[in-house]
Amino acid sequence: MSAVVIGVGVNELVAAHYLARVGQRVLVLDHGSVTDETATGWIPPRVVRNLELERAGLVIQSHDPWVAAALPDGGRLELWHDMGRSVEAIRRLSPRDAEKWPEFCTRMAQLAGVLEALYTAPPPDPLTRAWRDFARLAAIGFGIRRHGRRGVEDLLRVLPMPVADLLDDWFECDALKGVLGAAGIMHARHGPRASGTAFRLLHEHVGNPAGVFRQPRSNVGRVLQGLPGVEIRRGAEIARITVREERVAGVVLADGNEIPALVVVSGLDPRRTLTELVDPGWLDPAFARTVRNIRCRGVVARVALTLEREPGFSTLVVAPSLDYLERAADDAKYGRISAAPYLEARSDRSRGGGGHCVDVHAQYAPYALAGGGWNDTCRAALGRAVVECLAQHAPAIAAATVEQSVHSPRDLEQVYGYPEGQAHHAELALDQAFWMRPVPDLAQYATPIRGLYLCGMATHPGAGVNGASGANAARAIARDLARRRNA
Amino acid sequence: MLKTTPFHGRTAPLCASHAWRRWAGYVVASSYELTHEREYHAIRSAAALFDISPLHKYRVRGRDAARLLDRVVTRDVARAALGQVLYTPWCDAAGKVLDDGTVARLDETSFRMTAAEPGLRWLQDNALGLAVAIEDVSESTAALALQGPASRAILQQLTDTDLADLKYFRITAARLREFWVTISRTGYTGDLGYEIWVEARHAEAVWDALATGGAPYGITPAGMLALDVARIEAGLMLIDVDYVPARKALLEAQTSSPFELDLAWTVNLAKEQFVGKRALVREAQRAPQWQFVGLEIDWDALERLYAEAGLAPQLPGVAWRTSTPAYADGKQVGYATSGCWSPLLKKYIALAHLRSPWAAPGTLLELEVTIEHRRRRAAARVVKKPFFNPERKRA
Repeated sequence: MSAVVIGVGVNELVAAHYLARVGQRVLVLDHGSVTDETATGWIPPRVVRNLELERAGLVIQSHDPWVAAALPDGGRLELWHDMGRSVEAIRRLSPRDAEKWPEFCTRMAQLAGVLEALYTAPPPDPLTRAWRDFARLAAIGFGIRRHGRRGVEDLLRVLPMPVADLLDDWFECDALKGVLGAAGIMHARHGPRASGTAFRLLHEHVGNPAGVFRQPRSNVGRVLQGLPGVEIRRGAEIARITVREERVAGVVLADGNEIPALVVVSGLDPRRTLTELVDPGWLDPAFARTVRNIRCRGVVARVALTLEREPGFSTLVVAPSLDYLERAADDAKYGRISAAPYLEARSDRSRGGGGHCVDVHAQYAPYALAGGGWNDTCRAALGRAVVECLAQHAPAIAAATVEQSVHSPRDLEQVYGYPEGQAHHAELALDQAFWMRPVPDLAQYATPIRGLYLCGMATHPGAGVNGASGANAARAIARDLARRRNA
Repeated sequence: MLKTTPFHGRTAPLCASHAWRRWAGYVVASSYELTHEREYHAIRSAAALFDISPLHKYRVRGRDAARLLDRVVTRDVARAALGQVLYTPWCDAAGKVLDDGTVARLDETSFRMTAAEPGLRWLQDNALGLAVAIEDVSESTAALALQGPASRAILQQLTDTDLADLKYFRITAARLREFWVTISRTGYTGDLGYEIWVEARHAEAVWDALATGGAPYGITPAGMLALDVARIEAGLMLIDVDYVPARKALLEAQTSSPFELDLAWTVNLAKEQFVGKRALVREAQRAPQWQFVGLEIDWDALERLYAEAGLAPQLPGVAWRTSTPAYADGKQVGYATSGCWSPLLKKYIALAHLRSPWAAPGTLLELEVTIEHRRRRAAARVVKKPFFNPERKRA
């Protein structure tokens, strides 16, 4: 086998298919952990084109309205793909903010465009000496300058900014700022007043039309699994990645079978890949330490509710103000579950076997709880708090809930292999982004072990962009393979 | 606050000179008498007793203990016999020496490592994924070095363990009077000698036993000044003096690989993995740029230079540790890092780093000397280390 890919997530499958297309015999190992088949996130058009995903049945479900935020008086603030409809919705709360909405959307879309250019290729190395990287850096620089002085200023100013400050600059309406601010903290331990959270708002915006600040969902996972060209082996639990003479030799499965490979591509998180599956003796101990210190810090619990009747919404966000979000984050800072959590609920008719299902993203529920670990009491309390909180805005839910299941960050680590329950594998913050994602020495997808690559969500650009890490990794691998052939 | 060693209750009253120095956060004697000369001669003609407790000591235990040490050091620990002691350097990922010390195999899964620099964190970093327990026993273990031709006879009266069976660089558990100790046939003098490792609470009792038992043989407590002369004669390098450990280096040029320190014999490139291997494999394919050698300063030349100043030759009373340029054909080709007058060999000797083309034994060089405030150059010759290598060391 010339290449073995570990994992059947979107990035892993994209990497596998790209490698198959440059002539590699690829085996994908489903290492046993569950993957989410409906993936959230934008898919770069180039990946859709290259892998002909539309022909294979790709369906992007972008909700309209893309967000429905609960208002304290029981109403909703709904924002739409159509700019005019959003302006009207905002006008009911603040005519001033409604005036500003179109310009805000244009400015943010410009900035997101810059990120999009960065996301669809391996990150340029700022200390590069290679002509190719240098040219890319220059191209990006000129791309930014194209937006004029204001564009450059916006970028330099906004990226490191607290999302709360950015939104306070523009708007006065708490509900609007709350629902936008929430995009800046999703899956991060920071609150909206932490620097770098404005970058996260833009990250959620990349790939979407102006005025849409939530990523769409799609069936890309299922489509990729059905795509011919690579072999997928189910239930193949990986025991370790074997290394000989500082070069990857293959993988050993839990049943003792060894699969030799020239290239191993891991979609698992770097910590698991490099310090558990690889014998860490192959790594510089200083490097192993930086890998272990990659910040993960999961803060999201997933609560699944089964209802006997319609919940009365298709999506519902509880993020009524920036203060509300900051207070929710304050609890997490000290290892407590938020007394009043930030929630994103989505009802799912397709699941639940007759009943109605509501999936809730509940933040903050820190991985490491102060004063003891996660147990059934914590889980039940969180479930109750989530139902109570939703019921304030959708009263039908309290009586209709027949079952609740709570996945704490610890459970997510167990079930999905998220390190510390972090769905992004490595917290997405400015210091763990671009050519520093997850750490500078791993940003080009290659690892210090020759032939071993990373393609998971901890690599650039990471979570929220479906398949970009996989495609970028495959490009880096193909380049190395070509170089080796020519050598 | 400087700490005192477990022997301080014994060494302090003996230290007539009040010449204390710092070593790894402890105070130890530079010399006990007003000059170190008698202490030096005890090393070479009787027996000298050193307090070496300030060494950093680590106990490494567990199924993967040998694997951990093999990851860290350059020598092959897995193949070390039970009771064997290895002298070895260890490197960073760039193959530059971090420290040097010993690894003693106490049993199948238990080792004691000694180090000049604190090394717990480095050991722990390297222990990732291994079943091993690392314990810093620097404070709980006291250590003495008994060095000199009479050391075996002194020690033998105090123990039933037959020391004739204890070969060079081996270690054994033994009862010394009523105390359990470990005795290793190791040292820093290049002479017949032993190091005795004992729980700190028994330290003074063991000192007393040795002092009493050694009295008929002329046992002499000795300090660091005497040791410094002996270790130069033995050609043994000293961290911070003869090389800069990679972690303290301000420039890459200040770091040294084991090959540049004449330690190629300690580097086992056949080992599957160890920190720095990749860099050292590459370096092994080239010749090292630098070598660490012995220098002998020509007596006649030195005498002439002093005569020109109207003086008889003046010799350094204690070993010096200042970097001193070495020249060939008028240009600098290296530097000496420590040197002394060897009272035993009656030679002026030094340890030096030289660029490889000038490092072969027999090469003629000039070493800078300062005579009456003027810089002069004295003829010197590259010689094989060690300068002094008595048969009794290994016999």
